[in-house]
Amino acid sequence: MENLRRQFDLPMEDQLFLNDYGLPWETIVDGSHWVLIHNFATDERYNHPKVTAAIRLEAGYPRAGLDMVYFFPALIRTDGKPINRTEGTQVIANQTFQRWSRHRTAQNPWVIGQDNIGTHIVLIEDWLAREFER
Amino acid sequence: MNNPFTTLSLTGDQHALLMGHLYPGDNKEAVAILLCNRRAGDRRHRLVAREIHLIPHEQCSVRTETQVTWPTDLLEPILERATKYALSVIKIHSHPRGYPRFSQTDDIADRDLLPLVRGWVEADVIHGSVVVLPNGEMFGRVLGSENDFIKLDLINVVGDDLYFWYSDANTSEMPSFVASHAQLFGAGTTERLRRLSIAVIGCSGTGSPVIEQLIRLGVGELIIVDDDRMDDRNVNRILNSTILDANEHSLKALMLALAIDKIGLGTRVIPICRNLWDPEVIRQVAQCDIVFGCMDTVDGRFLLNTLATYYTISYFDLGVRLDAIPNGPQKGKIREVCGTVHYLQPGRSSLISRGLFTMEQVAHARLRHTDPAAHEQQVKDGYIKGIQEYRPAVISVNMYIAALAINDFLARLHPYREAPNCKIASIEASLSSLELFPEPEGTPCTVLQQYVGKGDVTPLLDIVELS
Repeated sequence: MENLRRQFDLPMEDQLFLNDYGLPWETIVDGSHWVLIHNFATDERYNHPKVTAAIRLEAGYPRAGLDMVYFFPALIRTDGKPINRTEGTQVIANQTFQRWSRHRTAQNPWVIGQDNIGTHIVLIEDWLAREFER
Repeated sequence: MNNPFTTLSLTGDQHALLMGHLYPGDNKEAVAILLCNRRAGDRRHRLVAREIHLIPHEQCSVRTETQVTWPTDLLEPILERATKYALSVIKIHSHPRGYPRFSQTDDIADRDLLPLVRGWVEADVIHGSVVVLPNGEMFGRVLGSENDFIKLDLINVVGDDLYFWYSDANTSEMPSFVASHAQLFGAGTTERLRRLSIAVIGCSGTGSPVIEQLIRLGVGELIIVDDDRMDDRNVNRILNSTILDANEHSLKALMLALAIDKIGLGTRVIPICRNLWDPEVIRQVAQCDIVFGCMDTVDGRFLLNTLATYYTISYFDLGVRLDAIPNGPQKGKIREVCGTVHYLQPGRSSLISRGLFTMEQVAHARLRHTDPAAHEQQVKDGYIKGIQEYRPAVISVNMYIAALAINDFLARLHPYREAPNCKIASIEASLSSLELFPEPEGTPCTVLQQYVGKGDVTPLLDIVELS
């Protein structure tokens, strides 16, 4: 992939994680600060096996927790069943991303000094997989 | 080559930990290693204590009243951490007899140790040596590029009480205008005021009275920060402003800097007409000894609390609360007239842990600023409660709270209150009930305590917006 944008710096541990994770990633500023992860694997039961995942870095991150995830192109299940809480959209760098409204719970709170982009990505992977567990 | 003004800052808790180790009560020398990050600034090079490694007494082969010897293999894991995080290494030991200078033994030991440390730690950072005297006072030196020793110009402790130990104390001449307050606070305090570098963030309602008091107290250097302009809505409460400034929409910080110069008491003023959420502003403010926060924004106060933690700086936060019934038959009836001064020490409780705001509110406030469309969408979707915009302001209340903050600052520089400073972390003043409510420290802030002395990192304060 050509010309990966690095429009702002990430904290060191996040850079290390993303480089280890091995997918092409970008940091862009479009209103908010966004991390884009390309070729993000979903599951064969979605319409796109690979998408771009976007994470908004909240002001105050890493002391303010990360929340939700945004996918482009939009995901639907190949069996036609609806995916709840994905009706919202977010325009990022002129592309319309699908917002997956998923949040930390009291059982799984954001822990400062422990949680970061890496642990958020583990959560995203879980959200994608959990869709087929109900 | 001119050496920059070089300082070392610790928190009161770090200083207490060192005192407990270096003065165990057996009247023998003891040693510890400080690992420091820094603010490598244009005005100052501020070392900030990040880690303290205590060398166990039982592992010292020699401990006497005048000497301590310890195996240097204990240094190896410490130096590995210094290398990994580009930290400065400061050897710190005691002089139980109170000898107020480096001894010949110290000179020999430091000439052996410090070049070795510099060779090991690959980063181009300075390393040094510090002595702690029985009364807690500290002095130090760093290794120069020619393997010479250069005095640490200042060591300060940010605790309940504020300590500043200069390498060249009592040498400057005091101007006559400070004679009146020197009578109360003494020459030592007045001299320290003259040497202090203080930042005031926000030059409006509470900021301008704070600035006015600091310059007339003879503060040496002021960094004043505000990106806002005058308009006719705020001439009613900004000191040193005129209707001409409002008509011209003068920059507040620049207007006040001109006034300070005109007053002519010798304060060096650096006006910064930018928002605190600007990396260059962070870099300038982080070179100061003390910050006064005179902002009413949640994200501004969060940022200043974080900056003060990363860079080991005393933070006085001013807040005013005026509340009147907005509608109905009792419209305008005054419900509340009060304000609070919070004194915040790095590693202790914060504005967050004291319940002034939550991290969620910080994120929402910032989202509204950086991505208003997304913020509006989230308000619509029910994630964020809409924000009330109207804020009343009255000059006499602002000046009252500003005076409360300055008098709290003076009390920590030169204690004069009946209650010890360790019992007071905030003071609320209610003019509605004519009462003062001091509050002690609460539990340390879990959001910020792990970042004490983290200093210069990329991005600044680990906040991506400050790239």
